[in-house]
Amino acid sequence: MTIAPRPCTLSLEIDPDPQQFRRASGWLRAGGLSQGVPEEQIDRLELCLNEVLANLIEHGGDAVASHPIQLELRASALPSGCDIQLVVSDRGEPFNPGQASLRALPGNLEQARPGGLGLRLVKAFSDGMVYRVLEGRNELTITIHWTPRS
Amino acid sequence: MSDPSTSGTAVSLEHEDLSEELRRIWLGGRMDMIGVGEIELPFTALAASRPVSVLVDLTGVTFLASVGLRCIIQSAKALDLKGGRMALLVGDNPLVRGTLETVGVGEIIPMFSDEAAALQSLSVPAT
Repeated sequence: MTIAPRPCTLSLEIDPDPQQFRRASGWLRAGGLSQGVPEEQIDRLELCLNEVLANLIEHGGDAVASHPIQLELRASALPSGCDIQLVVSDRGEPFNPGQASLRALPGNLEQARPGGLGLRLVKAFSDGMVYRVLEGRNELTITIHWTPRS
Repeated sequence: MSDPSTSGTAVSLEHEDLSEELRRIWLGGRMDMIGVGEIELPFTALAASRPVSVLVDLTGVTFLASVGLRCIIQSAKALDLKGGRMALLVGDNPLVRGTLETVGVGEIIPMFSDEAAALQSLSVPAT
């Protein structure tokens, strides 16, 4: 049996450094559990978090390196089920992952090319993505939705 | 799953040559950017340096990000170019399995959940 999450917002600021990604993962897991989010939903969101942060480091440009990345975690219970939302805010190159097209999956090893896997994972493991630019920062909101078992 | 900020973060890499033609590599722990950075070079050296059959055992992997997938796929490609081949042994971690399935790894590298079947697939010459 799972229960509905307790509505709450948590925030964290990290440096744009892969060494900080595990800190962010730990924060997300602890925050999700403290809000009553089921572990399998936290797993999905943690994978999305890691992929988005990795994408920022690899493709966000020079501006990413000189500004902290802001993270926010919000859980909510709705009549239609439960949501947990992760907001990632950064000063990198503008990029709307929701509008980016996915490369076709390779049919064999020869066709396999590096890149594009992270975006595919985020799209597959999340239930929604909203991107906007707000006061010069990219803001990506990733939503995970589930229905509590009774 | 354990809290990555406090425990369970170590990535591990071990190998054993089961015969002249068959090598088994165990990967374990957290294959995120940091973890993959620690094992990428030795893993590639073990997996793709000789034209042999390589079983990559992922049953001990607790977290697999795209950077880990890329490392495995690139090594499989390099091994294939040398005339060897790779198979993956996957455990019951649903997140790791889901990650592999989402990007279609099983379509390009044979993927097994049964150890005997994985080893057998590598013992039969490719046609």
